[in-house]
Amino acid sequence: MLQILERVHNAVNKHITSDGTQFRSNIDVTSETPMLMVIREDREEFPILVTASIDQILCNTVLFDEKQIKETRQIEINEMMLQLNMAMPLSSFAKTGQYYSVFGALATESIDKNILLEIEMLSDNVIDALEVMNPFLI
Amino acid sequence: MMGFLTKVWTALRGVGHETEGVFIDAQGIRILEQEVRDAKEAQVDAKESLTDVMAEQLKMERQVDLTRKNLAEYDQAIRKLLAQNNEALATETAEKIAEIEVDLETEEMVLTSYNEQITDLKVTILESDKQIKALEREISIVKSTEAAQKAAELTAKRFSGSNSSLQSASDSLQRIKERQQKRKDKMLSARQLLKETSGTDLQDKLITAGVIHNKANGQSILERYKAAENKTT
Repeated sequence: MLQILERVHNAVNKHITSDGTQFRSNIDVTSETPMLMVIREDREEFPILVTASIDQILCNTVLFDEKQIKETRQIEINEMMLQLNMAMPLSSFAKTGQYYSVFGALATESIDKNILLEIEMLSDNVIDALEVMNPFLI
Repeated sequence: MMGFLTKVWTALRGVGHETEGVFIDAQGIRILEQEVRDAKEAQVDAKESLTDVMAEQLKMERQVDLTRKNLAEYDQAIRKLLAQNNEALATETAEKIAEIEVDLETEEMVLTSYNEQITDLKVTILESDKQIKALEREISIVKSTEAAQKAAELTAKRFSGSNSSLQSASDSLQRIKERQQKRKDKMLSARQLLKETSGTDLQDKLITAGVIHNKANGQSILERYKAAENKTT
């Protein structure tokens, strides 16, 4: 599992997006499940957490916790996420505990190019999602 | 076996809102891991049984072959004895054949049962294989989701001090947008600077002032042709 994260780490650190922004990442092996934190230099508020298991690489970015949703607007935001889910390229919305997030899953066999595309797209989707949901947030 | 999502949902409902940061309790994972161990043990047992039964089946197959050959020999013998009118020995042989036929029938029944057992065991092994893989997948998803959860908390702490709640996403978005605008402005002013230093700016001003003419365009070329036409006529 660690090897997969190391591969992602190497690919991400060499990568520059088409508009010239860079990513940096570091592997955290202190926890039971090793993970990689990927940060796009101009969006460090929303790091992408990458974990690997036997069959998939999971890239996850937390958007906000439910306390940040304006009172009485949570149902609307949930509905919105479901409605927009399929329209969002390569990523999906999720809720884990009280946290809303955008995530993408890839097969562990995915080539670097696809992993980078996934990560770049995820980062764009996070900004896009926050933009559309901003009116519902405190 | 309970579906994966049902299991996760059950585990989640127990956790809920009051326990921040916990996705699934360790008990849930332990149960899944125990299920994998049980399935693996069952599979080892099934594989051992399969080896045993296959050995027995081979032995029985050889035995059936032997009995059939035996029967064939007595069959030949009884034909010869009847041809020789050796009634007494033929009767004795017939009795032997009857005995062997009973044996053969029993042996064939046992062989069929072995074959059936082998098929059953193979199916069991294949199914437990699938089950083990599904269970292991469940564990890995639960674990990686749990990791993402932990990571989210880590991020939260990083950006909002010791507080476990995330900093405002709305504020973050605002900051990112401002940063992007700054970047754009910087690029624009850099382009402006480049323009000025390369003299394009002066040229633009001179064109606007009508001091110099712009490079050839469709209109000017058309006029040039018209002028040439007027001269020739």
